[in-house]
Amino acid sequence: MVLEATILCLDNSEHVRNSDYAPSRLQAEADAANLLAGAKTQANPENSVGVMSLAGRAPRVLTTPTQDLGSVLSSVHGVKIEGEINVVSGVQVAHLALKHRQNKHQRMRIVMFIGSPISAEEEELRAVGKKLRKCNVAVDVVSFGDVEANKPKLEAFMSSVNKNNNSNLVEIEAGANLADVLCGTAIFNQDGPAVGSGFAAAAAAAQSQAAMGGFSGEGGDMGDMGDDPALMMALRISLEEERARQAAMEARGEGSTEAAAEASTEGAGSVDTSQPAHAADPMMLDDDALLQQALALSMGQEGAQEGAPAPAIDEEDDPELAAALAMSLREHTENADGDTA
Amino acid sequence: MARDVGDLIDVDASECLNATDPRAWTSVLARGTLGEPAGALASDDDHELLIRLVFVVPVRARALVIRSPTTRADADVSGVGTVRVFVNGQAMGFENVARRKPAQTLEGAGEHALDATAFDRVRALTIFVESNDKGTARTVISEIRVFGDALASTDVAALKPC
Repeated sequence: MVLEATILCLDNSEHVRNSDYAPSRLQAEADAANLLAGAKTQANPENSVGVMSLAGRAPRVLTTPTQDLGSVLSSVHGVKIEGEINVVSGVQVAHLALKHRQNKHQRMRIVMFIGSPISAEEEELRAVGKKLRKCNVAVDVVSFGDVEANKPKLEAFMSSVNKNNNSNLVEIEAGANLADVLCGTAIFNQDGPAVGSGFAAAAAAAQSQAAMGGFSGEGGDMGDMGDDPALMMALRISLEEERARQAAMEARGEGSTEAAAEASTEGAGSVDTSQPAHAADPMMLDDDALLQQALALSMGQEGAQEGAPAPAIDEEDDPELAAALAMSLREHTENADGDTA
Repeated sequence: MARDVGDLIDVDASECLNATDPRAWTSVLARGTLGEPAGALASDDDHELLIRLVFVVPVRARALVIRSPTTRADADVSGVGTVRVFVNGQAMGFENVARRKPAQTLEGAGEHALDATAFDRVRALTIFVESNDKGTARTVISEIRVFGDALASTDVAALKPC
């Protein structure tokens, strides 16, 4: 539950076109950044996250630290590949963006994704690291792509910036999934391993996935809607109404005698006896009565022909309703026997 | 007339750079049960310290007290030497305090009277410890107190709903 302001520095140099991390280095780091932004905002409601790009003509702040996850995701989404990274000035720009944060209670943190060779000298990095350390800025570095080439420089940088173990260096070999590997590291779990980390990461993943779904304009498939019970219930009810309407149409088409018989049995056996006269006209009924009628109809059909498809409603939901239906079914079959006899 | 205006400091907006513990400065401002300072503020990387105090209402600052502990645990720490004090303005980093002209420069620990005109209407006070008295690697402070009076203004936080 650390209260902090974080700047995510993305590597958008030409090197991140490489697709040794699926689908490409840029996409992999963007996914990881989205996940991390979600995890940070979940960790504390007052946390804020900003985004900047390290390459291009100059390092650029795309979003100043904000609590609005949507603007973070959209700016990560809009990063364009251009030029070479400049770590030294990038870190300084990030520090400047953090320095003027609204809430001085927030600790400052920079998370850098480095996926291309660092051109800056080791001494430069050491000096800027020292300056950051003096200003209480923590720096996490995610090294991927050119891990071996950057190792000595990044280790020198980390040794000068680290204060009370607040900074971490994570190196990810080619082929691994950036987001998956990061989930298990100290960058995600600052409070130590397994302090609700799985939950935070899962929540963040769901959140960022939902947000990405919103971006691309896809409604998502039915599987994703499974976690919204209200929506599922609305869908089920509307399906049942449609089925009931079709069943009523069929019943009317088959002949008035059967429809009348159905109506009379319903009036005799069903719990709902308030509107037996209107039973034939589905448009005149309210939803509940319509549902009752549809159930009675489908149950009746099932009683008539054994092995017919099961009715839409699950009967475990309402034992009283199930009992009433069973009673009405029995009476219906008895009546039918009486009619034929 | 002047009183300790430590209670008017906005803790959320204030900060301290290059301290071993980023929150230690609050204990230096607060007084313990026996009127003694509750803790000590020590610099970390080098001898410099940068403390920015933001007040909830503008104050007329009259005096600044900076004290260092009389007994020192480590050989590499010592009390404050030259202190540069800045009034109002944006939050500063170590790179701009070196260049900016201070409102007043203080020498050594103790109680310092502040320039009445320069500290007439203080919303934020930046205290930059430039050196320490023994020239050691680190600096330690045990007490910081600002004396003055709050200027007549409406403290919105104190308003009660009717």
